[in-house]
Amino acid sequence: MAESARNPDAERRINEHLEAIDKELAAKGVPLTERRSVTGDVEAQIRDMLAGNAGNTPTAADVETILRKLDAPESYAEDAEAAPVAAASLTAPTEPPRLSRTALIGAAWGALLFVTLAIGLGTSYQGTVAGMPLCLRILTIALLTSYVSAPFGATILGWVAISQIRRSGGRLYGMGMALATSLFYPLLALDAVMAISIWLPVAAIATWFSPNINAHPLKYLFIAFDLVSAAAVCAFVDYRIIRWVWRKVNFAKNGATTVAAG
Amino acid sequence: MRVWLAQMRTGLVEPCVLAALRGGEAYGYQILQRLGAAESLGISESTVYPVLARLAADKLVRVREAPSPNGPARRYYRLTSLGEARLAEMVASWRQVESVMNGLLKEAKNG
Repeated sequence: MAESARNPDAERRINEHLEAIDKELAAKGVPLTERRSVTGDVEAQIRDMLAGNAGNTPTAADVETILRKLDAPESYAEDAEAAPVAAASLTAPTEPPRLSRTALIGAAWGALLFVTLAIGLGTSYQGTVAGMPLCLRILTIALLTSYVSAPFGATILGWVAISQIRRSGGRLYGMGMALATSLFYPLLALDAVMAISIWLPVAAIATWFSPNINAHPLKYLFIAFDLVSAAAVCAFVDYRIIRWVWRKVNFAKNGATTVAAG
Repeated sequence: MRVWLAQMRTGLVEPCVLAALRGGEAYGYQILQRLGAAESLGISESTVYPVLARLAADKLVRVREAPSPNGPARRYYRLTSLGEARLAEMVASWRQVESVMNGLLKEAKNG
């Protein structure tokens, strides 16, 4: 049907009907994408019925006749109310929810760096590499491997765990652990960049203030200012990022929570 | 509407819609027309369209939009392999329910 052939009153009545359906479904917490799908199907049906009954230029009265044959918008709310019960019974978890193994492995992998770092610091070896005992060589390789792999492995597993928990429909929990694992190393890297970005101008100002700043009594004031401002900026930015990601992973577009956060 | 009837109808909409799509791809109004025989169950557009949207969200049906001569694009629904598997599961359950009910009704009639 050509756009120009449409009657404004008829269009307004169709839109009112579709909006009323959308409102009823929204009130029952139906996501936006599903609401659009439903109203799209209803509109297509109305247009088909009008084309069959009223020809090319349907009037508001023609639309009214068609709408009387259709379900009232309130019926959509009644059906939406009953449907989640049926859907939930089909997908209801038969086992109690369990902690996400991926999140757990990711967190353990991330923590491995600090464990091996502690072992490395507690091990003192003064000899040459060639004369290093086998067990110490193995330990060194393990240390290097964990240093390199932990930030990447933990971050990737963290995001995989978030995705699995979101899709599990409540069968998995541990969103907090997964989020911490996925964000820890990226935020650490970001904090380092921010700290350096703050350190460099403060150091430049300190040198401008006194070329021999290391011997100046105000040296510690500059250091304290640097540390406090870097810590404050890092804490603020980290908090905002964590809060934003937490909301993104825990809430659907329509505002409904997607999973138990755990 | 009586509660038991509403519950039975709610449970049957999804298998009815999936079964209607076994005949091939169709858009919303076409599916309703295919379900014409299920009118006695009270299945109408207010039950079918939300179910179609949910089935699409669950990837049990695939959606394709195509222009319509009568207005906005039509949304064509097609069963996915996941949807076919779900339908087979539902049909098997339905056969069991049907068999049990028939047995019970037969006993009641003879007894």
